[in-house]
Amino acid sequence: MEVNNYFTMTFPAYSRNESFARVAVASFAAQLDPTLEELNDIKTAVSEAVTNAIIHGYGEQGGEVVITTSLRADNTLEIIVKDTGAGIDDLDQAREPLYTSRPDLERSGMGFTVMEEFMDSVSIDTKPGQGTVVTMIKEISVREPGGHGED
Amino acid sequence: MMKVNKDYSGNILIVQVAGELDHHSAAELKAEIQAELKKGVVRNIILNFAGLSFMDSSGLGVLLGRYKELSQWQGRMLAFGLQPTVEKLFRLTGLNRLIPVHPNLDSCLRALGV
Repeated sequence: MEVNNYFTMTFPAYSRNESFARVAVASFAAQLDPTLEELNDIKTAVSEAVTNAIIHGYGEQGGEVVITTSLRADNTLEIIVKDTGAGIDDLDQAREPLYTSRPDLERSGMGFTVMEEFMDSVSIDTKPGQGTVVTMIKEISVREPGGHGED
Repeated sequence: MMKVNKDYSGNILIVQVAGELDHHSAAELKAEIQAELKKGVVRNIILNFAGLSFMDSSGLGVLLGRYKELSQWQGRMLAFGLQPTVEKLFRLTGLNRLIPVHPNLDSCLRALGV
């Protein structure tokens, strides 16, 4: 699918960057004229993926998170969140609702479930010791001119 | 940014959370609520989320943690004032089955028999 516009951001895996990351992606996505609900879905999913990279990918060691956001010609948004941290040993287990590898941190184990609920598709490419790439797709509804009443 | 205010109605702790509740701010909310629970007077908790514009599954984790603490003495946790995005998260994750969502404070207080 043809890409009309894209941007890539790289930032250190600090928790204080989570808010900035989700707002930056949502601001860029605004070009597709999403509804407020779609924008909030995007923010939530990005927050989950970035938090996973920071907590599970890097943990104490730190590192960089890279997000590439592409606006495609079919009015869909593709968001790729990448870390080069620990990777996931058992992906099926990680995707199960309520499973968490860090109950000590009061993680709910709902991160991937939330991404899947709020986005149209979520795929995960991970290699233990090398990192994780989460690719999320969101179709943005096309609205008639002047049809912005739902906001 | 997140802002927490605490108030009491008898032995009910009313926690007002404004701003954004994510992994970065979750630890602060946990500490704020635990500081009250330590006093030994809190029976139930009401969450005022009217000013909460964002929450993700990290927020879920910190609320579930406090829900479990309250469960030790059969205490209950209720919430009101949810904005649509927070309400959606509650609904899709089933959190609303553990922390019932009410339209306003009066409704929460009535549910707790006040």
